[in-house]
Amino acid sequence: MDDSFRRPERRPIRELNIVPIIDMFTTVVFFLLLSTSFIALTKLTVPPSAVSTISDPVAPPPLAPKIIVYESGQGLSVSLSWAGRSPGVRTERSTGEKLLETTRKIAADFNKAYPSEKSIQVGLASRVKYQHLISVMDGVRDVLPDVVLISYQEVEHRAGQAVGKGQTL
Amino acid sequence: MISLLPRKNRRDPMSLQLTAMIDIFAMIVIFLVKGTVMGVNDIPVPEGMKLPTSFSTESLESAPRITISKGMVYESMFNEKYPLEAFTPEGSSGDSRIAKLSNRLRGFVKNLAPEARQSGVLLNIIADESVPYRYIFDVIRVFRSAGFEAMLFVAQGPAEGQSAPVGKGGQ
Repeated sequence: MDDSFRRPERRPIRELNIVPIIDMFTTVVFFLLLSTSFIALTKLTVPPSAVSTISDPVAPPPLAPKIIVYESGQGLSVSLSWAGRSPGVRTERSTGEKLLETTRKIAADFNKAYPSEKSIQVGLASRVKYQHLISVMDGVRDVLPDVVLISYQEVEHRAGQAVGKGQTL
Repeated sequence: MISLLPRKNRRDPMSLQLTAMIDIFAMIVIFLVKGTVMGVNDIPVPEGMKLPTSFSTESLESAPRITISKGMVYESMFNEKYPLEAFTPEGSSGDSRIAKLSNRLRGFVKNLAPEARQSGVLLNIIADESVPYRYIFDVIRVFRSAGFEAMLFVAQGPAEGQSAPVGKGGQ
């Protein structure tokens, strides 16, 4: 037969093997996911505020409750004081073993009167043991979870004032 | 016999490429193993130390620690120890080691990774139950001023059979 009518040679169709491509794509995606750190960018535009020196007359003064423990005679004295509209002090005698129970009772009573207050300052006299600090923190934690420690110098100053006023039982 | 109907090309059934799937599976396992952080919260307590007892149900957190034992303060950030008296107001005024420690601690806190700051800059405190409060406070004051935000007091749970006393509410 004549070559002019010869059918042109068909190149074999090479199929694209996509399996390794998917393999590499997945690997790259995992690398990117693990190396990416997601940072949230926020922008807040606050209009300039007017200067004002007048404090809010409606807001009550903060309570700032403080609970201190100091040595008193053969045992301990636990004293809770607070400021606010009706400042007050409550002092109870206790022992090391009953300190947790005493503190819990005082804190519960305070919480009944001021349920919205959640923070308290805790301080012990210089020689009071570390275990008593833990007991006091355990006692107040349920109703007053935000605890801030105060210095023993302040505690001893307040304890001296309390003794002077005869508040120690 | 010549067939007049065009013969349909039979497609070979697609075969499952197991090699690539095993490859991907291995990659996933390796990434997960590498990304998993396995931390054991282990607080070493010096021999002879009696931790205070607490009825708290909070668990230990992984954080730097300081141990107050036998008149010394051991810190885990730089693995150094300092005499307890050096932390008192009278002792620290004449001891430059505490000032240097404070500066190093500030640098340590500043260089903490963001992941370590998620719950605040934490510090575990380990001390015997009989340590006077003044020493606890003096040591904490130095570390607090260096940037540690939350102090975690390590305590032991109550003894078996001992339950938390219930405070009676007032009337």
